[in-house]
Amino acid sequence: MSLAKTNHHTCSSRETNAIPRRTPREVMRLARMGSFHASRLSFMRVVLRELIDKEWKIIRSDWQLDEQGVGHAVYTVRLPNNGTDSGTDNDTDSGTNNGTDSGTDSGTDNDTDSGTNNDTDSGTDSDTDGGTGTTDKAQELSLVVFSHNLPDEKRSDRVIATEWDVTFALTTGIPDQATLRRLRANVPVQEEGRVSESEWVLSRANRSVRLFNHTVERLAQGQQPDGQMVDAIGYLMRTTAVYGSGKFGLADREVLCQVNQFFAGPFRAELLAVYLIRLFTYDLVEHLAKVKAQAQGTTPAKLSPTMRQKLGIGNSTGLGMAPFLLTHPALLGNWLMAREEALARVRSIEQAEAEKVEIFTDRLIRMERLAELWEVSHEDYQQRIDQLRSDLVRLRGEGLTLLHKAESQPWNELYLWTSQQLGTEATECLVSLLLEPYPELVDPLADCMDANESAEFIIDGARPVGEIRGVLNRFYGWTSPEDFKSDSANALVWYTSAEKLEPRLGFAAEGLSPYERPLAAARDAMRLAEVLRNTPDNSPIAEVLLAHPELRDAVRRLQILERHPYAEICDNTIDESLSPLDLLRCKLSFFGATRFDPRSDRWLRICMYQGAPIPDETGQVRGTDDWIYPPVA
Amino acid sequence: MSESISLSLNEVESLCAKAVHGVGYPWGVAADIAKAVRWLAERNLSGLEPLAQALEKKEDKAIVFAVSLSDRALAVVESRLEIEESDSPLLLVPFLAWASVLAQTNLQADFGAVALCFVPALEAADSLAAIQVYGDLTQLPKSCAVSVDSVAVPTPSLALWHGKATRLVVEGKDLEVFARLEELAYNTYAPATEESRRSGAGSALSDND
Repeated sequence: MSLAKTNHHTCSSRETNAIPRRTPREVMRLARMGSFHASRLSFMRVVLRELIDKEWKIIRSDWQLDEQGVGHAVYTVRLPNNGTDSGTDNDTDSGTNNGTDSGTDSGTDNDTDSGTNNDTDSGTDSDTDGGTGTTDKAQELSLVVFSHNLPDEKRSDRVIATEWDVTFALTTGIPDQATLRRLRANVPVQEEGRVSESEWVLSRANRSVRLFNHTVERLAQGQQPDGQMVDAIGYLMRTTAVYGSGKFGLADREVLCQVNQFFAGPFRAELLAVYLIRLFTYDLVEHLAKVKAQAQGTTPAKLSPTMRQKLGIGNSTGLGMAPFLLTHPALLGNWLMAREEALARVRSIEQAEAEKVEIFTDRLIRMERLAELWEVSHEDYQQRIDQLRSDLVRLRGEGLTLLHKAESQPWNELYLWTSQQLGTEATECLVSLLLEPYPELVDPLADCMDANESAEFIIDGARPVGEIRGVLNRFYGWTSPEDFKSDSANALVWYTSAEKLEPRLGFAAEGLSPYERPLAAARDAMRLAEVLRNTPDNSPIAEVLLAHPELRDAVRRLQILERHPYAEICDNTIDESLSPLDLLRCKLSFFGATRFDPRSDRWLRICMYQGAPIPDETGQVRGTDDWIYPPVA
Repeated sequence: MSESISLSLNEVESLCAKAVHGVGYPWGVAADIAKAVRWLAERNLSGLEPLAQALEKKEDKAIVFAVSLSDRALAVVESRLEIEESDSPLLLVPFLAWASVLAQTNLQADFGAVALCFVPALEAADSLAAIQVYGDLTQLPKSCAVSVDSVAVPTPSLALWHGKATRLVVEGKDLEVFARLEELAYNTYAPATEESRRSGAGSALSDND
C-alpha cells in the first residue's frame, strides 16, 4: 500500500477472506479508464458533502449588472473556522519548527495578515502574501464574476478564444474596491492578465446559446423553460478552462492548504468555483428575464427550485487536460488506488443487507435514466451508450436476480457476472454503483487522493541497475522494446503550441518531434530497458544517467511507480490508435462529470453538478449525496 | 514592463524547466534543475540569474555537474570534494542538500565567504536536510571555489534555515533575466500554424450552440 501516509489507517486493511483489488494491468488500460463513470469518490461529490456536512454558507454579496447583463457580481462562501488549526501557529517563532506538522504552518515569516485584499495598489503583481494568512478573514472565499455582452460571432469554447460571456476568479476574503479594480483589469483577459496569490482559481464560461436564450424568453413570459430542453442540454453555461495551481500568478496548491486543510484534496478549489458559477447562471437569466419583462410589460418568473437543480454547469475540454494524467503519476496512482480499494472493500462484503440492496437498486434504476438522457452526436460513442443502456437493463434483470440468490459475497458475484457478461462501460458503471450504498467504507478514501509529489522526485542514484531492471519489468512487462520499432507505435507527438501554450497532439511525420513533450512513458521505459540490457546488475543507476541523461525521467518514474502501483497507464500513449478521449474521460470522471459528449476525437463536452442541491435562502446547502443520479421521470 | 512580477512557485519551476530544455538539455535534467530553482525560491533566493548564466554559457559542467551531485550522493560524502571554480555555486546548494538526505550523512559546503551545514538527521519540514547557514547566501559570488566535506557538526545555537516563501518576486535586474529565460523557454513551443490549430487541437463540430 502506498497511499498518503497520514491516512494509512483509513486506506488499508480488510477482512482475511477479502477480495483483492483488481490488478494494475487489468485496470490501467486506456479503453477501461476511458469508460470510468463518476462515483462517490469524485471530487464534486466530495466538495458537496463538505459544503453540506460542515454547513458552509454561500451568499451573493454583490450584484452590479446593468440591463445588458454587463457588470460584476460576487458570491461569498463562509467556511467554518474549524477548517484548519493553522491559525494558532501564526505567531510562533519560525526557527523552532521541528517539522512534525509541516503541512499547515509555513509561510509565517511573510506578513501573515491576510488583509492583502485591502491593498490599495491595483497593480498586477505587487501582492505577494495574500491567501497565506490564516485569520478569520481567510475563511471567506469569494467568486468574483465579470459578465460581458459578447456578440454571438465572438463566442468560442476553444482555448484560443480571447473573449467570453463571463470570466471569474475565486479569491480569498470579500473583495474591496481596490481588489475589484485589480481583478477587473486582469480577469476578463484571462491568460493575458496576472492575478495574485490571493486568487485561487481563474476561469471563464460561455452561454449555451440554445438553452440560455430560451430560458430568458420563457422566464420573461412568466414561464419555466421547457423541461425536455433542460434535460437534453443540462446547463445554461459551460466553462472552457478552469485554471488553478499557480497558473498566471494564482496561489500554488500548498498555499490553499494553509488556509484550509480541506483544499489539500485534488481540484477542490477549482470545483468549488465551478459550483459557484452555476449559481451565477441562474441569477443572470433571471436578471435578463426581468429586464425583458419590463420592456414587454409582462410579469417575469423565477427559476423554480426543481429547474435550478436540473441545471448543472457545462464544460468544454480539449487536449489541455490530457497530459495531466501522464505528468502526475503519483496523483493518478492514488486516485486509482482509492477507487480500486473501494471496489475491493464492497466486493468483499459477506452479506448484503436489504437496505443496502435497496439503495443499490434505486441508483441502478436512476442510472438507467441518466443513460437515457446521455445523447451524443459522435456515432461510435453513441453506440457505446446504446450498449450501456441495454446492459443496464440486463443488470437490473439477471444481475439483481443473481444478487438475491448469492449465498455469500453477493456484490462480488454481481461484479464477476457483469465483467464476464456485459461490456466495459457497464462494468465500470457498476463499479460506481457498487460504491453507492457504502459511504462508511468508501468516503474516507477520498482523503487518500492527494499526493506529495516532491517526496519521490529526487532520484536515488545509488540504486543498482539490477534492482531498477526488476522494477521496470514489473511495471512494463506488458510491452517490449520491439513494440516500439514500428512507425505506427511512434506515430504521435505531444507538443505545446506557441499559441496560448495549448497542449496539442500531432504526427511525428509533421516534423513536430523537436517540440515533443515527454509524455510517452512506455517508449522511454523501453529505451531505458535497452540500455540496461548491457549494464551489469551491480552498477549504480547514476552511472547510466551520466551517460544517458535523456533517461532521467524514465528512471524517476520507476521510483514513483514503486510506491504507486496504479500510477502507470499500460498502453502506448503515442501509438497511432491512441484515443485521447480516454484520458480526458478518466480525469473528468474523477472530477464527477457526467454525459461525456465527444465533439471530435480530441475534445468533448460534459455536464457538471447537474442535479446537485443548491443553497437555501439562508445560504446553506441542504440535500443528500445521491444527486448525481437523476430522479426517475 | 512592470516593476516587479510575483511568480507562483509552479511558474518558477515550469519556466525554468522549459528554459533548460529550450537550450537542449533533456526534459529529465531540466526537471531537476527547475526543482532546484524552486527549492531556492522557497528559501527567498532567486536562482534565475545563476541559471541563465549557466544556460547561456552553454557551460555543460554547471548543469550536468549540479545534477550529478545528488545522483552520486554516496561518492560525494565518501570523499572530500573540491571544485576549483564553480560558475553557478548557488545552483549546487539544493543538490548538496539532496545528496545529504540520500546518503543520510551530514555535509559541510564551504563557498569562501559563506558556508552551509546540511543535517539530514534533523529532518526538516519539507523532508529535506535541515540546513544551517554561516554567512549571507545572497552575497554568494557568481563564481567561486567550493569544497564539500562530510565532517560537519551543526552548531546547536544556530537556527535552521527553512523553505517557507510561497512566491518569487522578480524585480530589478532579475526582470531582464526573467525575460531571457522566457525567450529560452519559448524554444520548446511549436510555431502556431493553421494545420496545428485544426488537427492538433481537434476542432470539428461547432462549439457555439
